[in-house]
Amino acid sequence: MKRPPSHRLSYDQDALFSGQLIDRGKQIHFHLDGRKFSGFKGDTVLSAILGSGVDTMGEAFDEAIALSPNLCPPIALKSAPAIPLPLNRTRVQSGQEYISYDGQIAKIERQKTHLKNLARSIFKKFNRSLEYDFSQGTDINGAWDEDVTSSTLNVDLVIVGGGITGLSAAQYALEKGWRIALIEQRPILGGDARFFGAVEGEERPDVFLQKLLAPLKSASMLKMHTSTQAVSVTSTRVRAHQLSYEKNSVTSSIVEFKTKHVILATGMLERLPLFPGNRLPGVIGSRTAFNLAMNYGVWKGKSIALCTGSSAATQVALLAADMGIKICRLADSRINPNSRFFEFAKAYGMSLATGLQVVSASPHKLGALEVQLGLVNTPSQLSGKPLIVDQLIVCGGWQPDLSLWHAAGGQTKWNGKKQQLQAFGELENIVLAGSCQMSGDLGSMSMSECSISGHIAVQEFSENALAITPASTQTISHESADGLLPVSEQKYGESVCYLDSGNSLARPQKVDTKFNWRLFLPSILQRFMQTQEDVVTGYSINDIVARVILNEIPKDYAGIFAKERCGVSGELLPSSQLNGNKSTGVTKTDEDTPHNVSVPPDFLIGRFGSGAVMVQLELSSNETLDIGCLIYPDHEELVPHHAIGAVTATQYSTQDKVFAYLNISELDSTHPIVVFNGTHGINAHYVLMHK
Amino acid sequence: MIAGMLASEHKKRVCMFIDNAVQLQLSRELGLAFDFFTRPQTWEILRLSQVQLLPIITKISGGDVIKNVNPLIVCHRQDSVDAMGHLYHLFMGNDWEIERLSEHKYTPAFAAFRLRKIKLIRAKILWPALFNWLNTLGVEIFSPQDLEIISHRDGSATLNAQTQSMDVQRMVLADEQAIHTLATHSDIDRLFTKSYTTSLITEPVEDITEAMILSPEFGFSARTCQNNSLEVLAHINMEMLGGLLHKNLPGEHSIRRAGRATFPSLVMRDGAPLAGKIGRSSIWGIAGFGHTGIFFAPALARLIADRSSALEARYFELRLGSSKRQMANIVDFSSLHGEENI
Repeated sequence: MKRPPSHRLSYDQDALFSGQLIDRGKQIHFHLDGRKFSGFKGDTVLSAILGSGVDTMGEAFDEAIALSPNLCPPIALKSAPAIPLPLNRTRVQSGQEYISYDGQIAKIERQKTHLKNLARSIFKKFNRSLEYDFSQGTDINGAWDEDVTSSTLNVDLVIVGGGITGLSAAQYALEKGWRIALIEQRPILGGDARFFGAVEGEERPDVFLQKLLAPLKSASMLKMHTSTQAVSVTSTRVRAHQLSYEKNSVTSSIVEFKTKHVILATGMLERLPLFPGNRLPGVIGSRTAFNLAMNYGVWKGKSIALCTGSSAATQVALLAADMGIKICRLADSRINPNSRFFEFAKAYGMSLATGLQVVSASPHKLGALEVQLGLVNTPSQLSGKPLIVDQLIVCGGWQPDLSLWHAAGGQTKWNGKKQQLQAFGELENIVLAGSCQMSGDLGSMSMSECSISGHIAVQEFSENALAITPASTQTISHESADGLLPVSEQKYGESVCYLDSGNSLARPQKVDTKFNWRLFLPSILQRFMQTQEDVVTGYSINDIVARVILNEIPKDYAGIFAKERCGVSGELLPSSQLNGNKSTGVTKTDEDTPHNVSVPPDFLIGRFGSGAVMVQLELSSNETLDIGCLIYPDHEELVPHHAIGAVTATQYSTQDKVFAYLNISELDSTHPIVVFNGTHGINAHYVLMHK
Repeated sequence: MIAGMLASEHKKRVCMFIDNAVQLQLSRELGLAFDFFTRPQTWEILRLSQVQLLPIITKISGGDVIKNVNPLIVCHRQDSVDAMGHLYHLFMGNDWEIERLSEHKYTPAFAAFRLRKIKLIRAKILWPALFNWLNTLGVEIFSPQDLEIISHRDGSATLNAQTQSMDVQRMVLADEQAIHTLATHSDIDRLFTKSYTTSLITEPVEDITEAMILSPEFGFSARTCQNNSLEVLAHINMEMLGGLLHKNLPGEHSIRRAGRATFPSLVMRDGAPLAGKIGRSSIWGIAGFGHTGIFFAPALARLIADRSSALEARYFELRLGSSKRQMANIVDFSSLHGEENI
């Protein structure tokens, strides 16, 4: 087979994109689904296969879809196929054999691509795809969310998010003598400080972080859990998924933190600009590209176009240029924006094209992309010829990550100016801090603002709260605010447009990028089709933001929709598997419990008049009656309206007795009555039990 | 629906306080012409009212709005099996289609029944048409968030909404949520059990063959949508709903949430519907009709307009929310079985 392309940047000790978490001197070989891959010590399975040249997850809607940290399948060890592991958080181990997680394979169904594979082996072509087919379902993340809790830890405070905000909160909470657990899903602490950079007057992010981290590392009351993902939050507990490694295996577990307080410092989500082809292999978010390059040196190809509406993303182009990557186009959707990054770009000899957005992207030869740009206000007006690049790096602005806030029952509302869902209201014992609480004009808050916000969050839990000036987002005169989410006009025949880069694979509802055959149906059939329910899936918060921007959800109700549909994914388990809560509160009475034969059920009282009493019935035949059989004075009118009683209990298992609630005011015990068993009447008379 | 009928049939000037978000929210009720009423009188009113409602609803929303369903009913507890036994014979006696499933997929200890040709109103079609209809009838619609109420002893009230002030002859809290917000604590405690209701929508579930499953326990309902996702409602919190859902579905399934909402709700203590004055106040309340609420709209509109038939008048007289409520004679099967504050 042809040697796979290396999707790694060359090593430069002084460069930020050097792959800080990997040791290039220690190469590791492993297998995934029988395919051999190589990586470096410190790689995750995902970064190793991305670095080995795989960039495609499989196909969705008849089109290739990119493999990325936001959409990657659960895997398992071949030796433990029933335990799902996250591809993007599992550290690769030498000689390990990984397989796709079987539980999900059943849902997703790998493509039957024997012919394709045969052709590849004949032509010695490298397979860039993991060959997943999403036509059956898309839910491939989070298979571990509902795992059984393996350990429980009691703490005073759980901080979700190990960025500047979370670390500052931890620092302040330590002063109060609290036991703290800090949960960070990435392998390193510091959040997006390195990506957003320092603002004027601040130290470099690495220096800032070093000073912040130094005292925390030795603090006995603080335990920092990296590569750990919080999966659910309530006012008293946080559940998190954790991996632990032994010599030749990895174990997956859910840790439950019982806590008095929770701080959510979950930062921001990067939004995906809306254009056809926005999830083709080679299209990548600016922060994702930054983190893959910084942590693992992973980078596809030698040329990029970068299109953003947020200044910080520009930094990715500058750092890539440092590594010898050709910057074919640096475009910004804002009109004449100002940023310190643009001044740096000029120094690199790059020119910034403003007022441009991506109109479409489509696959080109040898894994490259053909990218068409257009004017922002009139996207139909194209800007020059299509660009042919190895990667298209995009940034559609930022959205506070309120997924866990929603999951905990928190509310949000739409901020039209920033095109964001923002938190409002309160939750018991849970507070938001940092950029997820209040984003700045430049995407994230500055580092110093995040630090103050972390302190305030801790202060909110203190009985003697001191007045700390609330963090206000910094406005810097020479930095333009983030732009609106770029939305391309979509036309028939173009590629698929997704609302977000996550696992929902939600697409715009009103505009179908594919041929809309429904338009050719008679109008009555069109109407029928409109009555079909939408495809139902859990939405990401960015899906909802995009749908509001596309006017698919009214702005006023975006928060309500988000509250019900965001952060809800997860499997509903039978009660026997409910962790730590074996009882569902449902009283299961499978046994035939004895009836009280001396009193009628409440809902019969008064139904047959004031003369109704409990009686025993003596039947003229040995037929079996069941509870609810109605009793009539004669055979004349066997309709419920004329019923004078009903069977309330039977004791066939012991004495063949039948009891009834019967109005006897106009009957004596010798008077024959009729019990209707649903098909025919049975003669009977009653025996009084009580006066 | 009541507001529209008051405006159209009874020529009343109506203003309504409703959150438009209801169209986007997960379902709060089924709109099904069935609930676990064991009292024949309730069925009598429901059947008469339904006959009047269906042509109106078809006229405003089109024929697709109404669908016949054949719900499966499952019971796990002896008291609910007994209640269903009484309901079974009530249906049989009236020649309404019901079947006791003796050899069903469920374990023998569970009782299961099949209802047939029960009317279901499809909310997604109804809501937009309903708002259009109300607009054409001149019903003024306001957001409840803007509402300020000054109630008077004679049953009238002054409502301040946005920039307008209105004097109304009768104020009706037309569902449990409105009662929860605006009725007095003592009246709520006297009439209702406080609970939580969870509304859930799942991702498509494979091999679900039942269109609708109901259980008298916890007011459970699960409706299979056209894309095989399930819409589930129950008077239970989210954590417990998973167990209840798995217990009530035939077979074993992998079920994943796609949306959920849990909200405080009120369940009638005596299990019987409520229509009329609440407590000593002059405010009216309507509650306890369960999934069937919309089907009672014609009868309830007549009640509010003081035009009830003799039969309806007798029925609703016992089901007031005041101290005159004839609790002993109207008690019905309660989905919570006295479970307080689940």
